[in-house]
Amino acid sequence: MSGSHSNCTDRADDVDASCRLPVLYLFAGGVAWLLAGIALSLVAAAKLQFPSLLTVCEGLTYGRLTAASSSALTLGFALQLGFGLCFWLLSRTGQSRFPLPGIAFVVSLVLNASVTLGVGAILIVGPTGIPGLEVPRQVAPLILAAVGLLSLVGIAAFASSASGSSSPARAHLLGALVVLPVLFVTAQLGLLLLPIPGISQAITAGWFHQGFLYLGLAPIALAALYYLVPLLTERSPQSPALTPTAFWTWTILAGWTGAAKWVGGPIPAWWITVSIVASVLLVIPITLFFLNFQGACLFSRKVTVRFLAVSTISLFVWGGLNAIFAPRCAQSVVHFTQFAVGLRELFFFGFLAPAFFAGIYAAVPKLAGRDFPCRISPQVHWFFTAAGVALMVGSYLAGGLLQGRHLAVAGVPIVAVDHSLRPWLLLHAAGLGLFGFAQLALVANSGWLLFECVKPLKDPVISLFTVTPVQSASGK
Amino acid sequence: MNYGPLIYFGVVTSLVASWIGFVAVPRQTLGHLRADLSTNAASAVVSYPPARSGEAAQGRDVYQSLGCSACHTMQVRPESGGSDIARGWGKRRSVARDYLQDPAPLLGSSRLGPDLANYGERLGTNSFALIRLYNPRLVVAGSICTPVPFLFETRPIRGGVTSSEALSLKGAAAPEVGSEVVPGLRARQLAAFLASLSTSVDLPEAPLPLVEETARK
Ligand code: HEC
Repeated sequence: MSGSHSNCTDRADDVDASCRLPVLYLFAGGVAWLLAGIALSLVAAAKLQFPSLLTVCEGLTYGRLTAASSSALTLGFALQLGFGLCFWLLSRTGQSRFPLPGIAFVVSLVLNASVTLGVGAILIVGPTGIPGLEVPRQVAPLILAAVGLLSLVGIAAFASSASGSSSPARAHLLGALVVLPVLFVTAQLGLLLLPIPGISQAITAGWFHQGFLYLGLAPIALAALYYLVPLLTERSPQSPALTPTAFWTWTILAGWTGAAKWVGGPIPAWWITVSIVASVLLVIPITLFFLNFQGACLFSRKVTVRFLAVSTISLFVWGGLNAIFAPRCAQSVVHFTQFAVGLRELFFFGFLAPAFFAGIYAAVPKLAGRDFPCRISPQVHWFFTAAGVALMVGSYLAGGLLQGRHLAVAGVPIVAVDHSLRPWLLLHAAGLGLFGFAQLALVANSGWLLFECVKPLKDPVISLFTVTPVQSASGK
Repeated sequence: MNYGPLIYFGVVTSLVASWIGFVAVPRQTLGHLRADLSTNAASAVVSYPPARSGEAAQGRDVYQSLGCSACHTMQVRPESGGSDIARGWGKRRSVARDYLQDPAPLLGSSRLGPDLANYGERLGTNSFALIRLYNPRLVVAGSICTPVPFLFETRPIRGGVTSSEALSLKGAAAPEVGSEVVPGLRARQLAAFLASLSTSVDLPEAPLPLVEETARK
């Protein structure tokens, strides 16, 4: 009995070791970009309060800062951390060694470098104005190539699984890996290389942006939930029979939501109507996800489980608000306001990010072969992440509603609308600051962990690439 | 059970379906729109939307590169859908044809600032537009609009004669005695682009409100 158990642990260690280098690198890159994105966003927020700040510098105009920040967050943070998590989850759920770790690592280097180039170019030259793909057209092909190659490596990892099983987590991961390259190729061709002048670009751009968030990144977060919730809470999904329904309704509907934000806009009405219907129907898969992830409890003793709970709750609230404010009558109130931004942030910082953080806390100790050294730090990380998200999203939702009511009255000048929005903008910046502070706890703890890992080694740099960890976290 | 291939094809199929809906169909249907020859009220044949001057077309790129769309939309919603028309941001709703001269439409999604689809129509003299680019707060107190002073040049007045292009800045905003602030190339391009923004043309798909109706209001 104990023999087979240790066999099992050996195998798990072996699997973890096989993907260690690319996964840890992608995690580190992702977290660094998260910090960069938040910093850029905070400078932009300061410019809303003090527009005459730093006006001599073209690179620090509000428009460029926000575009650079959103690229850092989506392409730098979410995409890289997402790929890292995807690789680890694929190896774990497939119980097989990760194929091609070297290639994955090199391509990750390229991805990181091209995002750096892209964000730098946004600040120096300016954004493309395409949401989700603001990086200049010269850099975009590099990102496309990296996304394509990483997806291929991921699909190879899926295919090489020893067990061949298709758990819900693996289904979601495969979905993301299939979707991501298609999205990027389409955006590349349709928007950057062969664009048709006029409004059709906006529809395609909307499809790309929603698809990237809902079908590229969200499935990775959902996979983390499907894998980690039962593992950590020892509660199996409430209604496993409904899992395929949730998966397919989400996959089919999410691609059709891209035009909902153009209510009253210059695109033909049927696209908008289809997108509104799809947005409302998304509550079906979201409710099913929520039911299945009930085990994730905010009051659990395990911090990882609490991150999963924040993620689950955010997704549910987001789905509800998204459905309520999609129809024309409701949307016309909050259209073009910070409410829409708040809703996007709820999805991004509330749902995606905490699921990814849970992934980090689950994966890194296994990959590094030892637990995070500081026990308090994850608690701090969780608390300020949750508080930061609540504050920033809450202030934009409330402030956005107010802004929308003022905008609807033609007699209120824009300057007055903005003036009454100011306290909410300030609260939002405070929330973002808290969220950023929370990440410092993760960074400090990871730095300490890295130090502990390399301390006993004679030649740390070389050893990092060669030595397998001696002691395993599970064996502790 | 290994459902891998099934999942693969299912995901691809559903993605292709939405791809057809949001990429192929828009390109097919909206991609065929052309800057049409249409007849205006005085029965003169006009092309709409008119081609932008070279300067204005380059100004569009300046607008895009400075990320002005972060706070400004360029889309007027119909009367039923908001206060856009009541605010004087346009006489009619925006339609697909309005954007045919743009290499990429700058629709924007946030209205921290006003809609600019018809800014050219409500613009006074050009130098006013330039001053507000140099520093919006000189025109509207408390504005959070982005100042772009780096597109201007502060230089000594040459030969004792102030340039005709120099901004008339007063009080604290005025440059040192003996120097003047003149717009650089990109500032002039940006101003030309802003001045070119106008969509008040009667289109079959978006007629202008009748003159009497407007007068009655
Ligand atoms: C932080 C948000 C923000 C950004 C970014 C921004 N603006 Fe503004 N803009 C405003 C606000 C608010 C107003 C209304 C107050 C005023 O007139 O200054 C405005 C007004 C304007 C107006 C006058 C509109 C009218 O109806 O009178 C013009 C023109 C303008 N902005 C151009 C620009 C250009 C060009 C850029 C890019 C360099 C830009 N804005 C970037 C917020 C912004």
